[in-house]
Amino acid sequence: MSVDDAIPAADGEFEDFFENSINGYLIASADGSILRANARVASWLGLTMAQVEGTRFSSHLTIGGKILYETHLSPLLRMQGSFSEVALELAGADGSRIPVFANGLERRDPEGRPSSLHLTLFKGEQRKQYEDNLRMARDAAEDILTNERRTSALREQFIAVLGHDLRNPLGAITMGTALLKEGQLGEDQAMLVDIMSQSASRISDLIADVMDFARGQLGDGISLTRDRVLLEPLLHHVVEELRSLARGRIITTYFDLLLPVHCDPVRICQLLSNLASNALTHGESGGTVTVRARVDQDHFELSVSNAGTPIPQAAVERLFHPFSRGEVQEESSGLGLGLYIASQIAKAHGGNLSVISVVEETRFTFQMPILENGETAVDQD
Amino acid sequence: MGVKARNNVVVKGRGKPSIVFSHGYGCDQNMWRFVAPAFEDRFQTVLFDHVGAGHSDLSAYSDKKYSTLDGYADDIVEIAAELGLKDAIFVGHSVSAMIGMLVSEKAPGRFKSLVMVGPSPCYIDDGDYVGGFSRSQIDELLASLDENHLGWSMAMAPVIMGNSDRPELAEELANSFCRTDPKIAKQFARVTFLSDLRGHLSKVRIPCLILQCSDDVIAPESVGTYLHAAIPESTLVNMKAIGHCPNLSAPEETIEAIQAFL
Repeated sequence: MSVDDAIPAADGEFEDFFENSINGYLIASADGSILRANARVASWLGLTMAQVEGTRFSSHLTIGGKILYETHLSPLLRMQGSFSEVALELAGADGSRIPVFANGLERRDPEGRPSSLHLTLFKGEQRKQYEDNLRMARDAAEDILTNERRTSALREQFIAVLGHDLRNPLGAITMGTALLKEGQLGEDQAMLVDIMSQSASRISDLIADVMDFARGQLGDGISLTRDRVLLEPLLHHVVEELRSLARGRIITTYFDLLLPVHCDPVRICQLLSNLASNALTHGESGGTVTVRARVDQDHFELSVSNAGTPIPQAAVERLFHPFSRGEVQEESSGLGLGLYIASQIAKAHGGNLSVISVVEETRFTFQMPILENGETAVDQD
Repeated sequence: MGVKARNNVVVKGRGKPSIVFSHGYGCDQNMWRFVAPAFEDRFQTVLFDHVGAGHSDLSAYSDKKYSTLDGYADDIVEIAAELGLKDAIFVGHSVSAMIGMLVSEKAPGRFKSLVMVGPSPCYIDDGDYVGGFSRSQIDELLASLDENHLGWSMAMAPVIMGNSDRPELAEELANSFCRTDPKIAKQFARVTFLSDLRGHLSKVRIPCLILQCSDDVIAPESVGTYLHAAIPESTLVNMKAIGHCPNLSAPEETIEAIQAFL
């Protein structure tokens, strides 16, 4: 049954529907000249129906729409028989612009030749406004993003330069305190010089952390000077240092490090130092910290664990982000960069740093492949 | 990437010489679907998509190269060289008519005649010259493209949304023949509607057929008359076909006019 057969002979019902609708309806000849337009279209255009008839549909569009119609829509009607949801603007006789959405259908005779065009227009004032707003919001968001990126890059460059420039005067202080220690000092003076020298060394560590952070953020990442090294004596040295700093705390070690690892030993020591300091600071006070390290044919693995309240899941997700210091901040002596830098060191080695925090223990584990293939020749320097 | 893949070159038909069909601003080589087959029995037909249109290689697009019509002309010179064309016929629709003229200048001998369908050497009125558009109208057109509103967005939606993971969405979008990358479409419109090649017309050295449509908003009759007067060896045919795309709306008339000229 064709559509035509289905039309009931209700008196003027369809005529009325065509004329009195919220939508604009147009019937045009195959070449685009309007045979019939409903009252809605005429009222939008500010013309009488007689004035509309015989004109080309595209002649009632703003210039952009005209060109679009001739270069895109009219070809589409021929090629695929229809177009839909196309935003256009009608140009009213009084100079007004009426945003509409247009659907078009080409009617064809049995030989496939176009016989007429059916166009349906929906007024789209509010939707256009909505889309304009979306576009503006997108443009504004893009502007903000561009600005933020620029600012953030500048900020990190600033940090890098600042860190670098702070090192020289700090070097003078360190050297000065070292020289003072060699001289004759009273007890109070010796204590003061000790404190100054420790503070200088602490500042030096902070600067190093900040510069590592800046490097990580600027995209270069942490640079490595790799070598094939036996890590055991180096890691023992780090643990000894920590023991002397954290008096009264027990640090137990289980090392199985008979094979050399191709890594940057200074950075691996820094990684251990950061993880162990973190465990001493945030673990159960007075609790034992356990350091395990082992190497086999494929992997080097280093883990640091401590007892204490498990880290909440929400905090775990942010642990390796810069400036993350967890919920508890009783000893907020650091910048919150330690774990971030440790994870960057892991990444630079092609490895990864993970954490498991349960009632029994909190354990950070660093794992890296020791295979040298895939590493660039530059690493061998 | 080879020239053929870059421009999605499709060669059909048998015979000599070859006819190259070049589409204009808007859709792609589908514009010739009712015309090109009529020539396949006696000619080799060559169809292609300009870079940015249809199934061309979008990654070959460069703002700089395609900032003038020369970039498009250079591509056709390369296609002609790749196919070893000699004394071929160039049929260009709309802006491609002018691109064809540049090709004949750049690569003499490749083409022996030129068919211009709905051509215009300059769209903007200038003194006595009537191009059909005022400068402010063209500015408004380009602004509407910049705002990416009007229906331009419809052709571009699949690209904007980047639904590569859901290709069926792009298939569903009804207006796919005229799908273009929005940035490229914008630039192509700018290059097209701001072009002024009137200075080249007197230098055309090969016979030229101008097919002028009736009631063409984009290239009014005054433009056809102007071209006929300016191009030395030209024939002007005023067609009954209405609108800017007689290759789709009046293929028989278009085919007849081209055959009569050849």
